[in-house]
Amino acid sequence: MAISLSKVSFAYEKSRKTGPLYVLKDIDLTIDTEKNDFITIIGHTGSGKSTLVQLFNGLLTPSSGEVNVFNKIISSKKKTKLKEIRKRVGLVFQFPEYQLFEETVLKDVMFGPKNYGLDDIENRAKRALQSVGISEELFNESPFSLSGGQMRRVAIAGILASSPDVLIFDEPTVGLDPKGKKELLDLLEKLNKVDNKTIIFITHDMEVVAKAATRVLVLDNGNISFDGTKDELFRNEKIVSDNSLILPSTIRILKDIKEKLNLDIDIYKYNVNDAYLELERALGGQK
Amino acid sequence: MAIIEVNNLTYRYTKKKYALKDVSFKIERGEFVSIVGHNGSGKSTLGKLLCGLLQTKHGEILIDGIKLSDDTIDEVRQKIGIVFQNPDNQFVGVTVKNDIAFGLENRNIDVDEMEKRIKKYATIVGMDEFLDKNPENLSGGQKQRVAIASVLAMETDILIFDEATSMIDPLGVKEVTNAIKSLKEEKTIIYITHNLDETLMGDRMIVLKNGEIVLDEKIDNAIKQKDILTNSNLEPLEQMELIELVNKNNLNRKEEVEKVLWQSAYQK
Repeated sequence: MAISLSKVSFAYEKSRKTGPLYVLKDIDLTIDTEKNDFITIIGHTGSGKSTLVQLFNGLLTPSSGEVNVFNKIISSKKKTKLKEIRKRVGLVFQFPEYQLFEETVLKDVMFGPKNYGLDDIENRAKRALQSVGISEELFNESPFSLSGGQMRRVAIAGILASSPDVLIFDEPTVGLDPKGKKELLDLLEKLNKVDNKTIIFITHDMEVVAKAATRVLVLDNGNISFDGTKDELFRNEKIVSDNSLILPSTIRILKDIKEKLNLDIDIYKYNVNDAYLELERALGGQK
Repeated sequence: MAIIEVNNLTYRYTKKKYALKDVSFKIERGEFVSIVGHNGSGKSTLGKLLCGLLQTKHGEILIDGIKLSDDTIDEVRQKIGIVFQNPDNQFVGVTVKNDIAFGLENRNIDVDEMEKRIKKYATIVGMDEFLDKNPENLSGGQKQRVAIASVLAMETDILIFDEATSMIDPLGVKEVTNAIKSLKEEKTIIYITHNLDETLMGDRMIVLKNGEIVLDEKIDNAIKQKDILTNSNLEPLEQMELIELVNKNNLNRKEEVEKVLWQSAYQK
């Protein structure tokens, strides 16, 4: 099963003076959901990241070209029933806490599955809440009485409750403190590895890419300028400098050490432990 | 005399929960102090209290020797300016120039002086070529630099940055932090953040946890306090974690490695 885009372009309102203003141009892309990838999408503000992911679940219709989501076609020429698509491809916006609206936490999470006509909605909602770490005593509280991090997790549970195969997050860690960010990332990695969900994650944060990504897409001015693993990305100096990407901190640190101490080091390590082990190896061990 | 003196400051939004509890500290003229802490630790509340956007009867704030109160608030606001998180919420003008002019017009600054200041501060933040542009068409980093120029134009001695980089992309963060660094010599700066790597721009760090100060030290010492930082939901710098590992395992050439790691931490 897959989400695939063929020759997809997208323009928001057409300007009479200048013609259509394309946000995305001629995109070909396949996301094979059997692979259970954790895909991060990076690129500068205005490069088309948010527009791209809204095509994945039919929130936007391409201006030209075709989007195929689990064998349902979305194009400007054809009307498609989007409910099934949206049930399977859930999208969480940047400040998902603004999407909450019900009287209680539990009711809020039940809204999605109810809307999609699923059965056993209360149990679905409870399971979703438990999986994001919201304990039972909060189920009947007002969602607005919760902390920012909790509200964000309730909003994610609201999407999870419909058991989508693909979860899309548009910069979900913005504004969270480091601990909140780590907890959210751990949760998404669990959904990816244990529950086999494909995760698509828009971010500016290279530490997220370093920690979690199995595939990285770089968007540049409406085009996909890179599609590969994080290792292929960071080892490709041209792509890194062309897109003015900032390297993850462990790579930057090892690069400094390599240059200043003139050591033979593989700098492409993605966490402190691996970076230390490489350093130990390069320095010939302990005193 | 300290330019900022805070004595036993306490603030509550609701009866049950303290946003700030008995907070006291002094900041000397020209210091660059980072205030860090978890979401809800009270750091933004503190920023708002310092510039009089919030007020409390519990405790006192002295700005340049003046006790902050209803009677002195106008005077104090001429000494302290604040830049917020989201540049989009701070724009009022149709051009960059208009926007920087807004605060000055409100203070009845004469036209020649206004022109002079706009040019000067737009140049300091590197936005002088954009004066006639519409702020809406700028990138996040550019917008935030215009917001900084607007606050600079008021020529206050003290500047507060409240998570000023948290909503812009990495290139924008660099632009903004470079602009802030260039102000170090002339201003007293309070920099609110939860990114520890940005605190290295400053001289000193205050850590708030649940409304209380749990650490107040020179930056070199503060940045090494792994347990306090971790317990405050912050993330110690990778460089400090590596220094700890290198020393714990008594690695070859550890002194050299440690030196490079400190340099690497300060580079950003």
